Amino acid sequence: MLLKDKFFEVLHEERITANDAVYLCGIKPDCDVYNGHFPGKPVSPGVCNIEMIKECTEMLTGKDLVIDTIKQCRLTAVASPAVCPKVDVKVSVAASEDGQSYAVVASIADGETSYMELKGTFKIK
Amino acid sequence: MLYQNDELFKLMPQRDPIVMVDKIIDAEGDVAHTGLSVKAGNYFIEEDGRMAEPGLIEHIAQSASAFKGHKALVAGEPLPIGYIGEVKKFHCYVRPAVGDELLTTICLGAEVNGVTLMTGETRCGDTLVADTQMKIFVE
Repeated sequence: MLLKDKFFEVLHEERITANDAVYLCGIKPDCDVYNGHFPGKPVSPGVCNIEMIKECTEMLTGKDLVIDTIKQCRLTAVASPAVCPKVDVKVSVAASEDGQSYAVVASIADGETSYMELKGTFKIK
Repeated sequence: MLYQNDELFKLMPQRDPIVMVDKIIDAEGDVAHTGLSVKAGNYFIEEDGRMAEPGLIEHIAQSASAFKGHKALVAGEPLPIGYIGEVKKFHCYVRPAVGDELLTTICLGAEVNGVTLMTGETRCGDTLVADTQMKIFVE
């Protein structure tokens, strides 16, 4: 995985069903991405949050995945290690009939704030 | 070629290790062509030597950000800092590999209340790599 234990770490995993889980993730302030995004003003890149959702979905399904489509991904608040040091990454999957992909609904939020809502299709690599 | 490598830094705030556009080839009206040489040290290269899909989204977003920076520079306006507000209808057809030359077409749409609608399409040679719609918020 590209960003696990670099951009984020999983602090707790709550499996609700075989197809639903919530990952409590710590956003690591020492990640090198903040050297460039942005110098002197650390903001978590939205695309790193998308990758974090993908990697949590890989943990839930036990498969290596590729994002095939994102139907819609709304970035609803600016995230940073200072603003949201811990977030809940909530993932729900539904396997396709041929078993080669998953319809994914996911969100990133903490207590009061939603940072990301994503709907898409992830393919098995 | 309008801008290459470090010349882009006057158009956009992103710096290493997350610089995901390295050229603006041309820009006219609301359409620009940008590019990225995919190198081994790229932030989004996975173990198999191919780029993770969010890297393509970032490439398209930074292409639009640099294009808007170019427009601001030409107009003598301050450099905008853009954030992705929404990604819609993104499709990744193939994950680029190290050594690939990505070529991207950015079409900026209407700007309403600081939100710009845009579309981006990335190719490598004759192969369609990814396309998407996006909303970019400008601070």
